[in-house]
Amino acid sequence: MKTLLPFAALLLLTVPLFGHGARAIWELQGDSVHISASYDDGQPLSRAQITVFSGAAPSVPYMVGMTDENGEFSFLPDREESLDWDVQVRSAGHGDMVHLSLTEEPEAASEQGTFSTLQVVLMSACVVWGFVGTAFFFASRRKK
Amino acid sequence: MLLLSITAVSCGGDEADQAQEVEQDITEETLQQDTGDLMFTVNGEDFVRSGFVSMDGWHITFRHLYVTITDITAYKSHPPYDPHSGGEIIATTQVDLDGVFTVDLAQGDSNTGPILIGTLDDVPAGHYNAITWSMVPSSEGPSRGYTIYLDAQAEKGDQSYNVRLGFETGYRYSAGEYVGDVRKGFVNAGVPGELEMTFHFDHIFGDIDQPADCDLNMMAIGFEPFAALMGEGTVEEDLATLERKLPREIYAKLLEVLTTLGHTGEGHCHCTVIQ
Repeated sequence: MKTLLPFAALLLLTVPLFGHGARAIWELQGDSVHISASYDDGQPLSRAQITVFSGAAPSVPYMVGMTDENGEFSFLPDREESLDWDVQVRSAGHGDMVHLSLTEEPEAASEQGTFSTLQVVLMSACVVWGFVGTAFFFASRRKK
Repeated sequence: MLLLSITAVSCGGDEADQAQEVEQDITEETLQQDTGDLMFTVNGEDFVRSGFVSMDGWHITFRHLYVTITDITAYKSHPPYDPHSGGEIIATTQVDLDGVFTVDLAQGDSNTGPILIGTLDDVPAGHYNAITWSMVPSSEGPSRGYTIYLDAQAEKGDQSYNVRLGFETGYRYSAGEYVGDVRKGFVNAGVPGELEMTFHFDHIFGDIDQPADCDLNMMAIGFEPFAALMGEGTVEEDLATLERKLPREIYAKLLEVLTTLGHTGEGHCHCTVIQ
């Protein structure tokens, strides 16, 4: 029943496979860091163990805590301590680690830099209106 | 004018004075110094050392559980490698552990730690936060021809089977940082670092101690499909024979679950199949 595959004949299939597991994502909310953890199927990682590490002492937990029923956790990073932070999330054999690089001052918008659809529409409208207004301005000057 | 609505969420958690003890006290400054040693370990965890009960009630104890590992590389990845997204690991430093290692994960008991397979001396200091390795068929010994070969006893009520399963498919695992009780991978002068390749065999058989509808048990196939193949108290199969004998959907599930065995601690891996 044994079949030996020669190493030379080994070919890597490039199809990525990723089974089950836990996934944590982060975003800035004001000056707080918000962690949201879930299983791959979308179920929240409730009551999961949280360990926060500061870049100033990366092997020593800076803070420990627990996610709520929705798999969420927030903390206020001390930017004077470090701008680099790592957060580990664990629950029943599942775990993930997220890595944060902050700026010196809290930003008004999400650190991950995404705009809402409404914001994009408003910004686009402002740009278009700027071009239209400029066109009207030059058109009115030619008539004089 | 854009209005940004930002809502701060109340903080949870305790401060550093409640932090758990760790093995080392390393700062950014010490990480810049010199070189140190990096140890590579393999761990099948208590499931395979002490046995466990599958999700369908079979008590499984392992006499041997061989895995064969090679092409091991440790990285100081920057940005930190995310196994969820896969792709290439971008690293400032990478070091290779040469050799092919066939390891019996079943050796030891609940007090046994990870199995050391090799140490690289005098690697650049720093945080090694990613690791890749391949599982290939063994070229010798009891597991010859198989990447994974398990020799176990499965018991349920008055039923008892000798189980010998060999899986011949190869896998390439890419992991980010170790996830577990302590943070691993820090190399400093006089303070060796450790990277662990962990295997979760409860993914195949499930775990009766977990809820039936949990992620793990929904993914696992249990032991009943193997027991159904019994011949005079022995189940002795490999993937080639299992493909013929198992129901198609069970076989497909087995192939999928085999790609999930590799971890680093509790951190999951990106996996590609080697043919």
